Amino acid sequence: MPPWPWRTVDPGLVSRHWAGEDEWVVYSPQSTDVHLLNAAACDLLDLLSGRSVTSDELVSALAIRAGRAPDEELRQAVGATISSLDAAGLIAPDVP
Amino acid sequence: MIVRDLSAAQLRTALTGDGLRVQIGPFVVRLRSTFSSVRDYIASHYAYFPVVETPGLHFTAEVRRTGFWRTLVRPQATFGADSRFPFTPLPARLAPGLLEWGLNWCVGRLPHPWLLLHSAVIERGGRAALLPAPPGSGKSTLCAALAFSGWRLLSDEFAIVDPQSGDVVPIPRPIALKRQSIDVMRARVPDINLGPELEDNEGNPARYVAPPSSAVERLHERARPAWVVVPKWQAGSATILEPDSRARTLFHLADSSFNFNTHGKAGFTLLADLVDEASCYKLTYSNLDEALAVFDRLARGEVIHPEGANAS
Repeated sequence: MPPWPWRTVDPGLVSRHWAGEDEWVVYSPQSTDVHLLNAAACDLLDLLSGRSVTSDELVSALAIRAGRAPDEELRQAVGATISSLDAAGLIAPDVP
Repeated sequence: MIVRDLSAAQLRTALTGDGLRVQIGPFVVRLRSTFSSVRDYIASHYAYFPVVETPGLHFTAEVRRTGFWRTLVRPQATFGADSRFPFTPLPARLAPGLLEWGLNWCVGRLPHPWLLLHSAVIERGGRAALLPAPPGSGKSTLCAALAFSGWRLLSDEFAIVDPQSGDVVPIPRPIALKRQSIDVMRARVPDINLGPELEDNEGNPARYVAPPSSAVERLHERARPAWVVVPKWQAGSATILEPDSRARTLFHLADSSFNFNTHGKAGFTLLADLVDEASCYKLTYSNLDEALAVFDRLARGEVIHPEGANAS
């Protein structure tokens, strides 16, 4: 995974979730795009909301949330989710 | 006054002169055309629409001939909306269709305060069912069958949502039928009022069904969104009504909106609240009678959340 920190592109994301469902709908007022996200992607967005976080820090934070070890499987899952969110224009590297 | 109250001469004078101002859903539209085929079509398919005699106008929709030589050799029709010409000219025989496609363009593209979804809408008991679906899904056939089976037609093409109240605003216009759907509806409703034979942009036969007069007479009666049903006609399929998640339904509706981006965060909240209020389903079917029975059960409140159970 790239070592640089990540941040959300739009600080004003709005989301909607219904009890009993496993997907979130996220709206970006900046791009006017609507995204359908799973719980993992939403967790990651939540961790990046309003702050800059590296991939390693994300893995650690998600491991604590999930009550599991920050192992290779989790690192790969986080890497894949970061790639998806980056491709969707929801997050971007926070580099000067 | 409604369009059918006008004599043929009055209609011709209005359409070829300053225009005929008609209430089409929430819009006051000025119609103009020099084509007799368009005039006949308006007389037939817009017969029950109110003629507006007070000031105010949302847009002008005009079907007119192209240049002089084209009136002699392979005549063509072109559509103009407030002096804009969004389409390439088409053969003159398609002029009535051009009016409908042009009106769709006007409603979908010109600025107005409502949130617009690509969806058929029907109503019963003050509760609206939205049927958002892409072309080829059988949406219009199902909508036409429902509109002539005890449901009120609010629209075959657009769900117009009032951003203040969340109500669906009716815009009952002619319903576009293609290919076999034309014969299916003619068999079901023998006295159905079909417009001239046209063709869609892929060359398939297409005809417009005049909306039921009762739907047009109630064009000011709004409805609350109660169901979102995404229909899919599939040859040989059993009739299956499945609950759909609200998240996926919201995503689908946002994707099918023409002007979601102009409403911003308020538009997202409006759609989310609509979904929150509605029961959301996917309907797969091949038998129209069974599909209609599903909607009757929904209206009676018999189908709430069948959890994947076959609804037939």
